[in-house]
Amino acid sequence: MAKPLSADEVKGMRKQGISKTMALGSAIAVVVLVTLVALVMLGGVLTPTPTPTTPTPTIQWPEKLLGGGATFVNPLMQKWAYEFKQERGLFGVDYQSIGSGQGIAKLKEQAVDFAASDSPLKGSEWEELKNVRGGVIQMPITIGSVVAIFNIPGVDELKLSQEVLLKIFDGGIKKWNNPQLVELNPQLRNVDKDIVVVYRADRSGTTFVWTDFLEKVSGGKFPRDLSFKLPDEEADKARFIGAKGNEGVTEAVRNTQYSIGYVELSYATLSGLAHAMVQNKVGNFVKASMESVTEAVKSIIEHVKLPDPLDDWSTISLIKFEPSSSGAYPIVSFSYVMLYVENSPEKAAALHEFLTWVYQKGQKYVADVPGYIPLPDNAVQIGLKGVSYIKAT
Amino acid sequence: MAVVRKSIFIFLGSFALFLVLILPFYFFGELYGASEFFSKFSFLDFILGQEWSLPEQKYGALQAVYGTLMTAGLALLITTPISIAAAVAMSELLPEWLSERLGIIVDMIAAIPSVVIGLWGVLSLGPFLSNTLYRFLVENLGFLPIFQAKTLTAYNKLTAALMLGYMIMPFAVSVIKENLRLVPMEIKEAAYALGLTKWEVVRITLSYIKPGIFAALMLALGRAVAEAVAVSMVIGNTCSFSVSLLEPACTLTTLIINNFAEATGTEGAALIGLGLVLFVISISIVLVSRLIYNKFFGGYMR
Repeated sequence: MAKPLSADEVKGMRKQGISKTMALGSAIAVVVLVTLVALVMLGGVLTPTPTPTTPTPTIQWPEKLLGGGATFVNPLMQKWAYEFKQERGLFGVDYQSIGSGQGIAKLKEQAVDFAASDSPLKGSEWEELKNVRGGVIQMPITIGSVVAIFNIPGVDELKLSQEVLLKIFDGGIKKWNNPQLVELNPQLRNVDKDIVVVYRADRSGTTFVWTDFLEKVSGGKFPRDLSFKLPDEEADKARFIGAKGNEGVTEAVRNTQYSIGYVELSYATLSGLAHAMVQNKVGNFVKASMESVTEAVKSIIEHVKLPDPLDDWSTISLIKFEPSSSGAYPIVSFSYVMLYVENSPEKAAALHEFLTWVYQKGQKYVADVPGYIPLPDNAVQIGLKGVSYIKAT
Repeated sequence: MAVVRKSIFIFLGSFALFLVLILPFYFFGELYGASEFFSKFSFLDFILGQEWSLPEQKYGALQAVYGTLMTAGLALLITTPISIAAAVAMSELLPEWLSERLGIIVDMIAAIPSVVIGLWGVLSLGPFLSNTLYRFLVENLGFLPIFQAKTLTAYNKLTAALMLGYMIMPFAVSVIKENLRLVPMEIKEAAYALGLTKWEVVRITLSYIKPGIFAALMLALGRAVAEAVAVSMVIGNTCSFSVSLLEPACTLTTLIINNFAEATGTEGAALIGLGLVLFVISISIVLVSRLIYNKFFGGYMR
């Protein structure tokens, strides 16, 4: 039997009861936390530093290379980084997909060892960086291709001349049974529906490539930019839907009947949506594919003198060079990798090692990443030339 | 024990102080960003600018303001009856075990990340609505300007507003529920004693907590105005002044998150300007609601 409590004791418990347990609980929590933190910190101190087992090599490799930029090349970069580490095991490559613009910004701040971008440096930027660490090397790292995906029930083939494609995207052609469209595609004769145009709402390299093409076709009227220009008429605007990212556009086209949108080729392939054939310079209607895109780039490099990796690339547009080969798909572009000429000795060695590997052995992994296309030989030569400019200081 | 208690008190108190101390930092940050904006734009021209088009270097915020107010207002309109009804049902009508479980579910809705709700809007809600509700609206109520649409898509103001209404509902519900709980039992007992029906009693309690309902709805509106990720996924992102709810629009927040990652120079400054406009709108919502509150609800904040 417990001794009955005195009135004072009861009062004291009433006063303190709950707060006492709470205080105790909190105190225990604090102690546990502090111990944990201490343990973690101690752990860091106590872990023995690994003693080097291999004899020090003649070249000192950095722990890792830091890259950043275009989201488009990200899957490829991750694949390369992984395979490179597997094969060589010298150092890691950390690529962050932060967008082309941010990649270039980070390059300017010298916060990354290399950047990747869907568009080359602007003339002013190139000028600005010309005398920084020996200038910037720009070289093609992969090929991008933008296609028009569409969703018209019962129609899985669409032929578009460049003029018609422009008019669809600047709002000029409003209906699927427009005579200009029906002339190329008799199967659209009875599709009396408004065209829903899906564009990228976020600023993106994909839009840049697409508007580059529209600018070329329109003779400079349609502005080339990272953002898509909408038609001026309110009535036309209602047919234009902005979606985020290639995924967003793909999903919007899939969900919206009688729509058309533009995405990177890989998204069109993965989504299973049909994409349009576009008329090329020769006059053939060509669907984008690994073959037609490679052929386009190859033919351009054969016929056009591209600048040296140390030169200004800002005016270079594969679209404006128009491939003249018969099976070439006309809407193609380079993605670029950019780095400074002068680097610290270990970084220079690592950049040289990694990029050489990318241009030689790395190309065979490109086909493993769905929708990406290996560089043709003559583009690889440009890359290797660029790599040879890397200097250790 | 007293020492421990005191130290815990100080520890927690310092957190509150920290929140207050952060405020000046926030203002300085805002001013720093804004200085770049003010050096390039005049605020009045910016906020009254009719058109927003980055490729043409046109920076006018009015369309985005219109889109923001339309979607948030519409969301509020949708969520008001639903949240009041849900709160009343949960606290007055339903049996305890059911309303308790419902309450947990409603709280869980509040915890869903907005990007997940956005995905739900894009992948299932939107396509479903455009094939059912929107088709019905266009075919039967198409004579009203707000339901006119040339094309039926899932990407429009109504989808955004419905989704927003769903997102802000839990906040309104839980605040209204708390308010209902605070209604003195005596009032209800007196009402029942007078022989009033359940419905009449509910009406009396509701009129008793009017200020609370108003506060709850303003809280919800503030959230609706500020929501970005989910809205950008379903609103269609085409800036315009179109009246139709079934046509796309853009909002201040969607323009910011869509463009900020790749914006430099003037574009970046214009986006900061949009943030400033949003800030002004949010502040005025708070101020106006306080004003209304003081004027109509007896001038006290519970």
